[in-house]
Amino acid sequence: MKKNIFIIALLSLTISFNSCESFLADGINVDQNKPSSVPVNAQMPHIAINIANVYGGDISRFATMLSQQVEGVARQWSSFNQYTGLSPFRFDTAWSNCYENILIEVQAMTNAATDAGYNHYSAAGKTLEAFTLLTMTDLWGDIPYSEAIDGFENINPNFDSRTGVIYPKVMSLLDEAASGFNASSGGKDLGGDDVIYGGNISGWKKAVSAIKARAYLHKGDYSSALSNAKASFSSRADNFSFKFTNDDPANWWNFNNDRTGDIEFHPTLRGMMEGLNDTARLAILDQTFITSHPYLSADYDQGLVTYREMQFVIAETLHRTGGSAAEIETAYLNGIKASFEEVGATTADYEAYVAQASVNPGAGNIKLEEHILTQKYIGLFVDPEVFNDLRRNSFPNLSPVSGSSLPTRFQYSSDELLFNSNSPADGATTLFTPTLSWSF
Amino acid sequence: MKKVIKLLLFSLLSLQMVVAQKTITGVVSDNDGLPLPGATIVVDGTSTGVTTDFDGNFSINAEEGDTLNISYVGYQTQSVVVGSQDTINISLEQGNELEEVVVTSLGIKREAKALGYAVQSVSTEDITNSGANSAIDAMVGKVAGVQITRSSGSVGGGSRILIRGVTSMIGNNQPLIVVDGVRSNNESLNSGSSTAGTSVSNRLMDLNNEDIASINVLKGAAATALYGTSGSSGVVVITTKKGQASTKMNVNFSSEVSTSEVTSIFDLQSKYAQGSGGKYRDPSTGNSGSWGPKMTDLEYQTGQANVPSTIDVRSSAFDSDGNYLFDKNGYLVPKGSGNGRPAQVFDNVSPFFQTAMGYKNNISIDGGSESATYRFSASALKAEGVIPKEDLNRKTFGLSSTLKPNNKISISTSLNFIRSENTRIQQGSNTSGLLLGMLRTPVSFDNTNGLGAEAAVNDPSSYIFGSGKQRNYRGGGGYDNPYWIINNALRSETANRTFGSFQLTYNENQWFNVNLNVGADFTSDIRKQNFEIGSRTSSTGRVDKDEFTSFLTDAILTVSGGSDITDKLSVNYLVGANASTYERTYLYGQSKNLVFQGFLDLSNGTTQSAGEDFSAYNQFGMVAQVEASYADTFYLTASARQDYDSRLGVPTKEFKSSDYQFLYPSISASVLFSEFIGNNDLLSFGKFRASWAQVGAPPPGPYYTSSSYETSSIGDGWGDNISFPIAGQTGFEIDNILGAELKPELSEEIEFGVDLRFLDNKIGLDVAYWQRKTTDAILNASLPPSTGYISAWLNYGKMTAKGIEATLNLNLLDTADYGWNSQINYTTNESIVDELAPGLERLFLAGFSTAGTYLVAGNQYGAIFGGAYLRAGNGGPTDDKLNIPEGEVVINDDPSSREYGYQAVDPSQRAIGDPNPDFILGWNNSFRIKDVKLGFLLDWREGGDLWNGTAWALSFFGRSQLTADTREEAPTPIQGVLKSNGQPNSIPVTRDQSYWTSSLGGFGAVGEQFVQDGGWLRLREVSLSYKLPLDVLGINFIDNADISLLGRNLWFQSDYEGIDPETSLTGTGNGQGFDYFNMPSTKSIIFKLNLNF
Repeated sequence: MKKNIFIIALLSLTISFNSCESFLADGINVDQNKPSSVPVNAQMPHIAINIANVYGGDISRFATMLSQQVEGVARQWSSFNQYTGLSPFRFDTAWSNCYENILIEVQAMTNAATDAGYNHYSAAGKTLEAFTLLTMTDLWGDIPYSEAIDGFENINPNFDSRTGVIYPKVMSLLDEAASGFNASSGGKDLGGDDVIYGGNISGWKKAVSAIKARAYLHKGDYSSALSNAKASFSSRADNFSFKFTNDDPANWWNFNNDRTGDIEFHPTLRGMMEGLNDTARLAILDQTFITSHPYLSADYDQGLVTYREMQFVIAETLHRTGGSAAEIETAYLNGIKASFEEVGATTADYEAYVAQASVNPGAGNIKLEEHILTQKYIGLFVDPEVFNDLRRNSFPNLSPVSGSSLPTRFQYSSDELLFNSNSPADGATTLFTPTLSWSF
Repeated sequence: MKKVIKLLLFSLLSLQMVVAQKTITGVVSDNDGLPLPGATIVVDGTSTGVTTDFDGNFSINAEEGDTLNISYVGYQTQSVVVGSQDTINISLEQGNELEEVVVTSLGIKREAKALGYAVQSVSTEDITNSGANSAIDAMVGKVAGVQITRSSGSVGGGSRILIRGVTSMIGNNQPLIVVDGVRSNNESLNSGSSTAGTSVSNRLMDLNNEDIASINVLKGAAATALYGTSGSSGVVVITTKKGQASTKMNVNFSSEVSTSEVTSIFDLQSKYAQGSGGKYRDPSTGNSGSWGPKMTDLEYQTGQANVPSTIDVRSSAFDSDGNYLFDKNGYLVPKGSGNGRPAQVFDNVSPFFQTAMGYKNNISIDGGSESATYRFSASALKAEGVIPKEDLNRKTFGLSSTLKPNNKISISTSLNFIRSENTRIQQGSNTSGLLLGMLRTPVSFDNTNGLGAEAAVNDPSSYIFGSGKQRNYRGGGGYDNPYWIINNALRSETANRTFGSFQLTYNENQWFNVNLNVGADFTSDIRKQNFEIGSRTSSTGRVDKDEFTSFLTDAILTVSGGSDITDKLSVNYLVGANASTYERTYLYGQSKNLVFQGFLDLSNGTTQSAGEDFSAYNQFGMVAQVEASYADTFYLTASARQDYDSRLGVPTKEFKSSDYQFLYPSISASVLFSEFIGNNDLLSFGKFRASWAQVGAPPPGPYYTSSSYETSSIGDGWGDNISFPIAGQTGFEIDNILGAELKPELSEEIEFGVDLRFLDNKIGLDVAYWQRKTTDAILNASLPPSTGYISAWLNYGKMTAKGIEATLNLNLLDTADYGWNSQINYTTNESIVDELAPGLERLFLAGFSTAGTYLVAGNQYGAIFGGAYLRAGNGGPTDDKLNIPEGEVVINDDPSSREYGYQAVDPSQRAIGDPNPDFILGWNNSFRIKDVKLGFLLDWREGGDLWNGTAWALSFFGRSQLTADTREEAPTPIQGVLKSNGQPNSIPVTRDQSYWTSSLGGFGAVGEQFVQDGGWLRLREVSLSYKLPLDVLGINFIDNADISLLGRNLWFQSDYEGIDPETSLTGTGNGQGFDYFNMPSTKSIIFKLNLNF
């Protein structure tokens, strides 16, 4: 017996040592539920839906609250509305979503697509990246880019100049995207995983022009903005947008569901619309922000760049460059009509509305601020682009909610300020300064 | 068979009388018949000697007339002269109390006096008389150096246990639980967010207290070094009861009945109605606050036609006949404009909670012969919650047996089965959280709809309209009605658990003993969370079903031995190996958009999703220990453990065992200096001890050494996230946390202690001082988001900790009829975060954006960090950008600001609180007066902040008493200096609705004003028991009968302005110090009957 036990003991020790490798390694420390690599079509939906969620989420709420389309009235949002509550950490989610859930993913997908020669995937990736960069740089100004998205390789990425680096990068990405869409797919076509256009390349080409038009407008290059806007969408069906579903609701709906009563329709916008007898659209939009809000529905079609915006861009740039009065009127009315369609108002409502001289004084009498920019402000309800317009044009002429100045930018994320030694010094940027340039 | 052998033996002996050598067998036991393993039997004047096996058996060759010396540490040595008998059973008298024997690492029994580190035990009686259902809760106040915090008053809610504070920055800080020599599952698995959902159990609650024989706490690194990695946060060694050899079958039956109530509720105002700006707002408006008029200025009115034009009562508030739906009395209007019936003030809180009944029955049967014993136990616990519909049903079955086929081998096995069914209610930061909606409900609204609390629980008309829409104070929006929650948003958890162990001991001689211990622990935990259609959390209805399956195995093989080398020097050794495995599978199914009400089942949803998660790791260790003692005065122990852990493996690297390995050395020494002094009336015993050890902790989980793709949800924290598949597509993204090659984090600990006994052991004092330095702490270091990652795993953190533990034992009165025992346990420790990663000043653990717990460099572990008032002047020694600077509070004096005259907000967040207590003191007393025993335990926790998020939120809603008082204050300047010129503030303000809904109030940016002292003085336990005089009563079929009355948590005193501060929103996790609509704690009275047959 004694010998037996001794043998058993020895044996078990020996077995333990011999099987060391299989006991400790052999894939035990590999997560079975997470792949180490995935094909481009498995990345695509995550990127596009995240962009729609971020653009229609915190960015939409902050930008359009500061533009006085919506008003924070309860809990945290009442202090945000006063500007006092908008400390840097409130911007953490929007900022980090852009980097961690969009830019790193889109670059990985584009690189993989480029390596494999999938021209359309790499072009779609570049389009989405350009849109994200443009959105970010117009809200935050200088942002880390050329040294960013490098993990441990660079934990203190430099901030690149908005005018000197980011805008040129946006333009070059869009140029590359345009030529990519003109080339063959390289063996892999965009399909159902393209949740924006469902693989329709002509839609993507128009979107490239639309993003370019927006970027040129922000730079003050009106003629380039005009030509690109004209090359972009020809109807609402062309919108660069993602339609959420009832099962996976849009961000505003989720917000209104969980944070009922925190945000409501803004009196400034209401006053402006009432002044123009905009009763049809007010009846739809000026409702309590709850899940049954007719416009901010669960299956909201989250526009990123839209036909109506492009029509207003055409009207504005024609106006600024001394273009044809008739063309201005057409684009202006197209923009208003598309806005009515967007919120679900009827054609009759639209016709009654534009029959008013205060809305359409007729070709040749359409003024930049009073008409075009006013209608764009109303027509792009909860679109962050209104915050760009507000700063670019200093119109509408808003009064600060508190204090004496209007916010002119987003705060940098506190995570970035805290952990990146190359970020601006404490207090060097606020909600108000430094202001961004809109002509360069 | 045995008889035949004996007979044979006898005949052989009689035939050959010349051969006087014979084999003597027997059992060495203590006074109570408990076997003494490892006792030494030596033939006097020879070198022949053996030791007893695990069950006290021995076998030795001796001649008639020889003297056997039987000795055992802690017992008086006995000598027996060998006569004609072959069997000698020896019962040893307990010796000097100091010579107690304790169970140490890997089950090694050692003399307490030899130990160079602190070990403390808790007895059966202290556990069973505690009135607690869980062994962890039963230990509160009974062990120095241990901090136990129960997280919630929900029945079955978990408790966090810390031994000597925190060791790891973000890894597990709770001790390893070892049951009968093998590791046991004490996981707390959370299905949801840490700040919402139901409170989480820890699995040690599965163990039936009545089955526990003793609990030993191994505190420091030297005590636990043989456990290696797993023991880095201390070890709780639980020994279960075993069968006793007996001529008859012993039956023990106990029965308990208990009642529990809520200890305290939040101080709410009952003066002001729902509304805003002093104006009443009807529930149909969805208004959230209680900033309306005084209740005394309101009266009822009925009929839709009679609604005054000044009052906004929406048409949704009436049925088609114009009857008001929200209140049977009618809607509220200003006094004078209604029917004259004054507005009724409703208490929606206190009546809601019920007196909860609990029942527990326990039976155990044991017995056996010298060669085999058995014990069977079964228990049933049924406990209601103080929240209606919450309950816990636990059934346990245990079977253990020992078998001694011969004198050298002993086998013991145990097998346990537990079924635990728990129904719990949502708490915390979620719209279906019970207290969230309950405490926010204005006094003008009756959640019971006129039914009264008891009837409302089971009458849907309290919480649901005929239309199926929910009835609550915000017109169906906002938060769930509490009666809706307890009926329509329940969580059920069913755990089935089996664990057991097999132990084989082989004793060749005192130099060679082999012990093999193999155990397995399997838990299946199936949970279901319902949200009926119309729930605020999921308006279209949702059913979540989760299954966690955990499987642990543990195998330990040791070879040990030892003896006296000379008459003064003795040595012993131990070598061994230990392998353990862990795996957990998580499966979930979710069904959304339910089709109809009343059927909460996965099949009732039109959108279904499922997912899985598997994690596993393996550990292997080799141990060696050598121990030497000289003249029973000097003791020295050195040990080493080489550990291997699969969690250190980098999948992309080629296998090299050295990548997985790490060594833990320890050395400890003690000197019994009282031996030098000699006999002394004052000092009866004195020992000085010192130890040093280094232990390490692996990465907190598997898979931290590589990055991969994952499918994750999308959202920004303001609403529910959406998850793939979305719009029919799946989506994968790069994991936001960057994996990296890791080494174990190291903790080096030194400990000094003295153990003094005075006046013939009537007074005992044990004091230990320890300090620990943790380096290479593994942490999830935040990266700037622009790197593309949120954080990366790194070995970088440094932490220092130190502490003092003291135990004072007083045994001043001990006569046949009277006795008084008293023990004071004192604990103080601090863990300071010295350094995080480069550039990293703080690291989030848990909580909210206004106030969260963080690791903050230079601060105590888990400091509460959040919004603060702006202070004048930047200087001051504490202004390092992390702490609140010195100087007066700055007052906003910008007249255009809506916060004119209020405190200005510091743009930087600061360390605003420290949740770690200054010290903990437990004073345990037991008195004996003849057959009556009386005991009480006072539990004093000094300091330890809590962030009162409940008060924070309720200030916004105007529901707290504070807001009723401050809105009536005459305008007065807030203490501080003006922002523009530093002059003393002279701007008078009233802290009214405008104040409490600004940045300074609820949901504002400042968290500082709601950080409160969470310390307490508490009557934790009271017990009164009486041993029935059976002989007097003439009852002889019962051996023993006790009746007891136990009280738990009956009284407490605290400065905390909320519920009982013994609470933790985040359960048993590392981030402590939050109260956000937590379930209040309970107090219980228990009647217990215990019978022995």
